[in-house]
Amino acid sequence: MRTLLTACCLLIALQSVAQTRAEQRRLDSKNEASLELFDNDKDDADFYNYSIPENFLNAPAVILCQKNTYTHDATPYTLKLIKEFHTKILVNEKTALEDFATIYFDIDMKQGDKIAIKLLKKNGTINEITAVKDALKVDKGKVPSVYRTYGNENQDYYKLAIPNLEVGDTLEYIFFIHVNVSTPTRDGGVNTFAFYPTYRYLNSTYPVVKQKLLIDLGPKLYLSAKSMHGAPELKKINSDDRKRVVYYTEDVNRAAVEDQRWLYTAREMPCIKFQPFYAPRKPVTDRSIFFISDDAETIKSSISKDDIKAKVTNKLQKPFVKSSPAVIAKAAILKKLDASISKGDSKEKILESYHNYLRSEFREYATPAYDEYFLAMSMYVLNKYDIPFDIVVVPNRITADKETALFTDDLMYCLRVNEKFIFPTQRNSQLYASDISYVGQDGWIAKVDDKGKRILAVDDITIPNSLSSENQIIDKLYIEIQEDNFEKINLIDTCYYSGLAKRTYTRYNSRQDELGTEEDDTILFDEDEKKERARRNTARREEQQRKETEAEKQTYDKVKKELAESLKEDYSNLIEVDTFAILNTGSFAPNTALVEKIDLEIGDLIKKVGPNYIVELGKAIGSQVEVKKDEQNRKNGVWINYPSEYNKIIRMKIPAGYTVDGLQNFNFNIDNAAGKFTSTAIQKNGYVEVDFQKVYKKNYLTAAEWPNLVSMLDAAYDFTQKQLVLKK
Amino acid sequence: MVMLLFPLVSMAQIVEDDWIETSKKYQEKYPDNDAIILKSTERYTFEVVNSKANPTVKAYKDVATEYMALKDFKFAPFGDGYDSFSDVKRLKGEESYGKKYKQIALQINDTEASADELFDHDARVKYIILPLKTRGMKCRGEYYKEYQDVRYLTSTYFADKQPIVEKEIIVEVPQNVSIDIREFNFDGYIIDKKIETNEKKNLQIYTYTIKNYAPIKNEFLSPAIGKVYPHLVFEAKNFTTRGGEKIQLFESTLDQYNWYKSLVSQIENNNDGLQPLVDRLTKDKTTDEEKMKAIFYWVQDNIKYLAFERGIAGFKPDAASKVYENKFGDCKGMANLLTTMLKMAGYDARLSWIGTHSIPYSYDLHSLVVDNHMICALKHNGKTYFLDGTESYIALGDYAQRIQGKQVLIEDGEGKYLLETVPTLPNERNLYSETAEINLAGDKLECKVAEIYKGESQTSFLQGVNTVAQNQREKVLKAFLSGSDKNIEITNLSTLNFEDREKPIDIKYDAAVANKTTSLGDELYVSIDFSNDFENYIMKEDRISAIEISDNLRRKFKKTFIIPNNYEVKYLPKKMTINEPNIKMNIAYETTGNSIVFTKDIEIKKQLVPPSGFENWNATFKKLKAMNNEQIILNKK
Repeated sequence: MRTLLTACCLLIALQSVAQTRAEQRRLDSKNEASLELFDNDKDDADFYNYSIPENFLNAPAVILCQKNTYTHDATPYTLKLIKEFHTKILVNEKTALEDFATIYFDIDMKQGDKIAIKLLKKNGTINEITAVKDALKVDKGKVPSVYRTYGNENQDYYKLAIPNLEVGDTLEYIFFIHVNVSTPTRDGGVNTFAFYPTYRYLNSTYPVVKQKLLIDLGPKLYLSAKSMHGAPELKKINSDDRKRVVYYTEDVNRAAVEDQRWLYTAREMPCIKFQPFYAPRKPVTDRSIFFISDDAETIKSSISKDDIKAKVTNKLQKPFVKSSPAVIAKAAILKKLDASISKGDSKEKILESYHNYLRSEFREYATPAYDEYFLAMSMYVLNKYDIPFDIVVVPNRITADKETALFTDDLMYCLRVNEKFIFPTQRNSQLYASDISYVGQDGWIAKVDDKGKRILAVDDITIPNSLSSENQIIDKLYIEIQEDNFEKINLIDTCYYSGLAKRTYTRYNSRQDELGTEEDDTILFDEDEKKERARRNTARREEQQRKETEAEKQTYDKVKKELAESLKEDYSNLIEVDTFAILNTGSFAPNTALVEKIDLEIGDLIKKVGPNYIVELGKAIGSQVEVKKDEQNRKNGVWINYPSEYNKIIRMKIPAGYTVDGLQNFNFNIDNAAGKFTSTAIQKNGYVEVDFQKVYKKNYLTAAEWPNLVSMLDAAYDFTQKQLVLKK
Repeated sequence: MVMLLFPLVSMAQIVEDDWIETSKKYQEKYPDNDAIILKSTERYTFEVVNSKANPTVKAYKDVATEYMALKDFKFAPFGDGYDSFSDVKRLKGEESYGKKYKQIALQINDTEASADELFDHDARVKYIILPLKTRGMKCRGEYYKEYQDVRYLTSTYFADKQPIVEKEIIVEVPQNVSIDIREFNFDGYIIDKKIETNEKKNLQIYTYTIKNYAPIKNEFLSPAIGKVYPHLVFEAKNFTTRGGEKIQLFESTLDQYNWYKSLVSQIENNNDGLQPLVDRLTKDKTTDEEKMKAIFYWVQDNIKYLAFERGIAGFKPDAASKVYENKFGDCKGMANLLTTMLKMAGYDARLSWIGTHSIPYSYDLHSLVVDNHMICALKHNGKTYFLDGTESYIALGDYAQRIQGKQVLIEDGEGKYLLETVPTLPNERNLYSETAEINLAGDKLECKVAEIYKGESQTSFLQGVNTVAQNQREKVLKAFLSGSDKNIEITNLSTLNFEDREKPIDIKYDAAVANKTTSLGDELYVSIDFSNDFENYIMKEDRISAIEISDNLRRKFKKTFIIPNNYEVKYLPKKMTINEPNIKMNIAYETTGNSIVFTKDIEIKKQLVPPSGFENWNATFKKLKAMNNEQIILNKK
């Protein structure tokens, strides 16, 4: 019943200020679709005759058949894609009703999208769902992943409650969705246009008996496609229209999958990825923009050195792509970039200055656009100051390797200068410091001539992997039991982060920290702002100073609050973060550690048992990974961001009048090819001292190596469960 | 970055010197707030609409609020909610310019109110973002809200998310409209009330003023705002048209009931399709109770709850046939389906209205704010059963805590209604009990455990289990029983019937528990109780909201630890007893023969604890925590 939402909604809704305009909630066009839409597949026996494998019978729902057809056409002005998704699902259990009693779709009926839904009752009757016009608009964030379609992100999503859906019923739906792109990327003289890349993963949260993929291409369309990790290959099939080319594949009896920790989905899970291109003129000349097949009859399925050469040559000659964000602020940024470099600087100093400038300008994680920007800016500086360089291209470690890379978006760029690699900048990156997306990746190096104008050759290259010893986290924990209240302990944690760990744990760096300079008007402010600053009287300057101090304080408070939240994951009984300080930002050289000092108060580590106290000292190191029983057997590889080494040194002052028992419980020694966990505990000069080391030796392990890692993780977890006794 | 959003502000233009001092003073007092409300005025006026076809009374709410920034570069969202029966108009913002104000161009945001629990609703919010550019500056917002019908104007609160220096609520009631203003939760607050008469305009003017009022804070176990925060509820009783006709609104419970009934009478019920279902469900049942259960449980199990709150659909039930055909509906539709089916089976079933636990009123208040839910009242053999179709896995005769003790408005034919109360069930109804026999095996504890869940814990257990796929149930159940503690490995789980809502859940299993013993020379420390019961009930020292325990709770444990032959008891924790009106705890470790018997019995009644009770509350739960932490010590013989 109506809950008088409006009386209270202000308090709720005003917390969010992100939403803006009023939106039409319902589908306002009449849905003209009906069961006739299913006629396209009326001869497809797989939608009517299916045999459910025995091991699928106990699944809460089974996708009986799923057919995704992508029909592509193009004119010089428009790329046209019609997505036809036909799905038939058997609902076996009440629990699955939750997933299918409301279905979600992203259609726009004004441009001819259609949807039809029917319900096959278990008694054999067919119910047509005609209430599609009642579908309600829904926030994209609330759409379950099973209903999300990608590459069409501007479309609105709707939800519809399916009437009369019961256990044993079969739900069948079909969507026709038009995606028209009228202004494909076009930069003077380019005559090749790309459709969005599509990734069709074969695993779902429910098992799939049969799934089919059809890619239908009109004239002058070319296809890049790759079947990965056991996905079936695409095959050309006959088309009624001789001007069209149709590729098809099908997959049978694909089991459901559950989420796993440490898995890069794109590196392991069966997937067919594809991207069509429209190239109206022959020969195809735009390989500098896209990786495209030589002819429309052949699927392109890998990237060649020639592709890399063409692409990198283009980047060298046209570093700033029109319409890219890089161009928009190019002139202003280049001016500031120049200002960050002094003419008499050494080449090494120039490299450091431009790197620091770029990281201060773009402090968030790299994206392809930013990657492109980095390259363009870097080449501008290197060429200007006659610093020779080569361009290195590798697939992003999270999404592809050299064999599976296919699209331009799969690739990332960096530079090699004096045999050292310079990676795109991000918050707290250092010159020459490695990057998790690149480490250990095989790729290509394009050797650039001394003038920085021409690619001489493209060779293979491997980016060096990172070693655990390079990525260290050292925690020095000083524990003091409050004399007047044993329930609370003070824990002072001085943390040192080096290598890749430094970037992971950087909580706050000011722009000044990134620049590595004192405030410099020539860099920070433009001319108008400088005039304004000069004009200010003392009072106003003081007020401005106060505001800047206040802003810093607010940032500090925010970071401290976020830190407290993140520490709650480590210390379930965190009482308070008293102080937090960055002792060294670690911003200026790869071998300079980021150093933080955190003073916190935690409870529940000490329990009174009779006259004695039990100290759960193991919990002082924070929570450790708990590998559950059902995770013990693993079929997939283990993808870890980077090898790392955790060293913790715990010093706990023994309260006066007490002796310590149980230190032997803290001695551990596990060392294998995947990891290491060692710990020793001693009593010395009135203190308990525990030295602890935990090492992730590799950033990738095969499934066979997983048990080795588990034994290390289990030992670290057991450590957290150990306790010692303070005896009166 | 935030600085760049605002142009450099000329301080002299917008902030007077003394304002900075004022803002500093309040910033010290309210460090978590970005602004204070210096003055807010809400003025309610009413207008009789003399339409021949549909005479009614419109209500208007004029709001003007003046903020002062306590920090730089912040924002104050300002606006109000609206729906199909109301609208927010002329929303505007101004900022200080010396001692004057100038209007600023601000985008009016119009967005759906956040209400994830509803499938479809019409609640929206219009708001502007007042820019608080610099500490001490002032901003002012204004709007008015129009209610098409005074019955939809229900209540107003004094509190806000920002601290208030002064707030006035003014209600101007014209002579031809009768409105009662009911005051709630005024105790403990200084609220000045004035009643004046403006004879020239024929108005009775009520003015309420509150000063120096702390902001609302949402904390763990905070009660619903209606239970603790001072507020006014409007009872629109009647009005007189220009022609002298007196029209009843909600002068009495009967008026409100009649209005509800008028909506019910509009339902186009064609329930022919339901009869075969009712016949099928009751065919093999011999007793009335069996038949009633068959229908009640069928609705629980087969109709999915989806809430529809758009316009009049927020009050008017869907037809029973529609709910049946859709297999989904909201509380109104489910109550209607249940009532219809029971009637078809020959029982005296009636539609009923009720305010759930979060609603602090009873039907002596005549306003739409008094209830928020619909159920079915089934009268049989002199007893009333209150059937809530939106509950799942609840037995006939059992009542969810959220409706226990609540008054129910039950239909009783044309122009007649009944008021009854849902029984309050004893704490025992929600009993959770655990018995275990524990043996030491190496450094592990081997436990044979039996757990019983009743009442709320039983229904939530069944609801939880039944959302998990069959092929995942054992895994999820083990994770639940072990508290996802890697140290606890569960085996030999007994077979359970997850559909039977009439018997308590009775689970038996074996658990091998690691890391609960510490061996130190001849001494062995053993933790028997690792439940961590109610440790989160220790409240922070700076808590301001009252504590509400909304369920009666009862937890009983009996664990028998078999003392290994080669050990003797060195230390047992002392007994702990707490016996307060609303909280009882008895915890003891005792040696019996070759075993140690641990018993724990905790009873917490449904209650509202005001801030004055926090010290005692925390002391109680700290004692419990200390007991939770205790271990026994054994010594080698």
